[in-house]
Amino acid sequence: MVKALNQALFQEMERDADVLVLGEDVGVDGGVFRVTDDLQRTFGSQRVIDSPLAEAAIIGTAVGMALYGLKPVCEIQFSGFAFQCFHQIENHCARYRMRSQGRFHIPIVIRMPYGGGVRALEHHSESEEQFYAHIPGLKMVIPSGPRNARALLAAAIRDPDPVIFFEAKSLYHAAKEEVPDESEVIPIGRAQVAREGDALTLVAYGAMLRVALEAADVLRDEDGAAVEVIDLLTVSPLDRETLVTSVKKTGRTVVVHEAPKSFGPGAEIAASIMDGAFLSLEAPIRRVTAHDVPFVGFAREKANVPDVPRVVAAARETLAF
Amino acid sequence: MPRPFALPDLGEGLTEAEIVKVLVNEGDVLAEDAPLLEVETDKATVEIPSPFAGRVARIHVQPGQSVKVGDVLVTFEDSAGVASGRGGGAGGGPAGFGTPLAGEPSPSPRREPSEASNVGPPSAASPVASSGQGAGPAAANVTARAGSGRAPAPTGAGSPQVPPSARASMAPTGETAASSVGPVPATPATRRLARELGVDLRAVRATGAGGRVTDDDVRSAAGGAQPGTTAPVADGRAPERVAVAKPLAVVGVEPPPLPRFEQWGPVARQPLSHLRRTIAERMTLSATLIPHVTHFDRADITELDAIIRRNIEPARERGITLTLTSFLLKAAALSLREHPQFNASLDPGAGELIVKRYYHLGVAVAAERGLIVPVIRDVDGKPLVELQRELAALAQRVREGKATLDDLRGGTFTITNIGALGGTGAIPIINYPEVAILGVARGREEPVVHEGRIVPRMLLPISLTFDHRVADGADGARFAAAIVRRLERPEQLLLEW
Repeated sequence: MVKALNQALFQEMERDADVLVLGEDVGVDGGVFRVTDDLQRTFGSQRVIDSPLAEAAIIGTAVGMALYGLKPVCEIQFSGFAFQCFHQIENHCARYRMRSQGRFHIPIVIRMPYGGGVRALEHHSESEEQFYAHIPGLKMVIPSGPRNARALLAAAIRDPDPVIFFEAKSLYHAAKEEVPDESEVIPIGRAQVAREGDALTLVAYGAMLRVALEAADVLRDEDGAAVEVIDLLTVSPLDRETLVTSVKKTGRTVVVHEAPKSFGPGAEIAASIMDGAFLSLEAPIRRVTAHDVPFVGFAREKANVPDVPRVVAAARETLAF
Repeated sequence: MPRPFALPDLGEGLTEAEIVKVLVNEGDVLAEDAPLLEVETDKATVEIPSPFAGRVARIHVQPGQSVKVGDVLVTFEDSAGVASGRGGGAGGGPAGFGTPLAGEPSPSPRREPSEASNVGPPSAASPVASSGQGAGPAAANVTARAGSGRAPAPTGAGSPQVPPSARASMAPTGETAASSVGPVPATPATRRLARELGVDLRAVRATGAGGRVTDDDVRSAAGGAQPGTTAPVADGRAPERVAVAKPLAVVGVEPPPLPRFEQWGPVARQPLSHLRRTIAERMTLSATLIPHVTHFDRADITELDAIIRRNIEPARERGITLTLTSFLLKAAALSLREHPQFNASLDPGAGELIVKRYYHLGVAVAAERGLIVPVIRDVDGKPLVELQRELAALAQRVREGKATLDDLRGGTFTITNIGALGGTGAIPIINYPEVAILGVARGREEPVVHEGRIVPRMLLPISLTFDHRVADGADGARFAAAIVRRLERPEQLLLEW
């Protein structure tokens, strides 16, 4: 997936001279995960900027660039470091269009690696998409594989408004997929049905999509249950229509995410399904999530991040309800 | 307080059973409706489900042992701290509904069942008056609740996901959910199905996990006989059937929400007693399902009244207080024989009229707690004196709250005599699932043109309410006339006794 993201940046920077990249170690080093590899050599240090170790400065500068008409793509090394720039994101990125009554908009992309599964240290494994999804004025995008990562990053860069772009660390090198040469764009705000079924709807995104698909395999092989898997791709704005259409068919839902359960995306997803498909529900909507604790150290990581057995168990309870 | 579970009345007049198998061990934690015991009566082997969720403290019986109705079989440990009350009370304990997922450690400690009741709304946690009690507990529950009056949700993280009120009162399998407090447990999809089929969930027999009404329950309620209601015929004979029948269409209405009465002044919410609720449900059922029509008539009972007066003393010497009611019973039963469609029940699901070849007549008795209708069996074949004696005994049992279930069921037709309280007439509601009911007001002397002269005569106003699906106005008039004729010519009763 790293290569696919790198290709998206290449293609977009070639397509549009206003696109530029800034962040810690993105230039000479090519980024902490090598997503920006070779960009500086190709586009120069005026368009691929090594910033100081100051997240607030990265986003603050980028807001200024965006107001000036540029299209900065910022990299935060780990999403756990983003609170240093949360003020710039919430107070400025998200608000400029409203504040200026539409005169200004902020075409900015903020990329951050997120999530567990790579046994990293504290502040390196969090899944905190709910903070951004909750802020009006931001879009929150999380791809689940190389091909949709490339297409969504292209869409995010072309979007006229700020997009928070989460990249699952566990997919950076593990996820491999053939990607066509031509540039592709997936519209933001639209979920995809990753697998069709009529017994239960599994909702997932990012790294959890693979967990959901594997759980669906188990349920198909061991329970004979045709599970529909929905890949959100965009957490916010939420594609309620796709969710409701699916649940009207299945009547049962399990939501999987790496963020802690309480007040997480699963709650909003469940509420939206109840709004739209209440009379089709055969069972309470279940959530399989990380626990309501700060992200645990790597030794306990496996107990915290949802895995296939937990998803299968929740799905079976829901199917048997 | 440990909760004992006694052998319930298994119906069909059975008073004794033999324990075949004990399906649980002391210390087991059971979900509500989990299989508990297998007992054998002289009719069948029956599995008795656990009436509540909780831990089995003691098992008092062993296989091979004979037990009587009312014997304690199993004692459950102190749990939700609420009375069980078949159908009326609040059970409790998280029964497989809000349990955390397997392998998912709950962030907060799991609640023990004993704690669960603490978060319940007051109405669910206190026992609803059982049939043996008056308004005591009900009065204690009178609370002037502000706001919408809905039960508050349980508080605290990790608490069961459903308020105890929704789960607590799940009726044991085989009872309708109608006796529950709060909404009937059913998934939204089942609710939609019920709405589409016009089925009232409260009248549906719940067979699902935790007392839930399932899609199948709704479908069978819509399609006719509910599972389990087709109780075996007492003597095993199949009902007579002349032709194949089709179900009638089912109609239903959802009651609209009530306004917030608090906005106009203070109110108190008083939980209905078990009996009151039963009456309310049966009246709603009857008035909703049956198109009622009432025929009025007056019987000249001058002669009958004279006969009764003349015989009061002789009857008293035989230990009997002679009343008009026994004559009414006799006149009605004999008239029913001529008009069998009024001694019947409509089976809309099957599209059949079930005509009963027995004449068990109910007599409405105003007990202190509410209206109760004890049943006198085989009224047509019994001497008047015997009827009078049975009637007195039954009425006394009812007033003392000692009537048995068998005293109260099996009726085919009902008589309600409101004469004692005055009035000139009333329109009674049919005692569902019967077809007709006879209302009798106070007999009065009135000036009447009798054989060309105005004379004082004793007139008895009667009102016959019947199911217009089963009979038409002319049928009702003829049936009422048959009763009137017997009351007006008591010597005719003599011939038929």
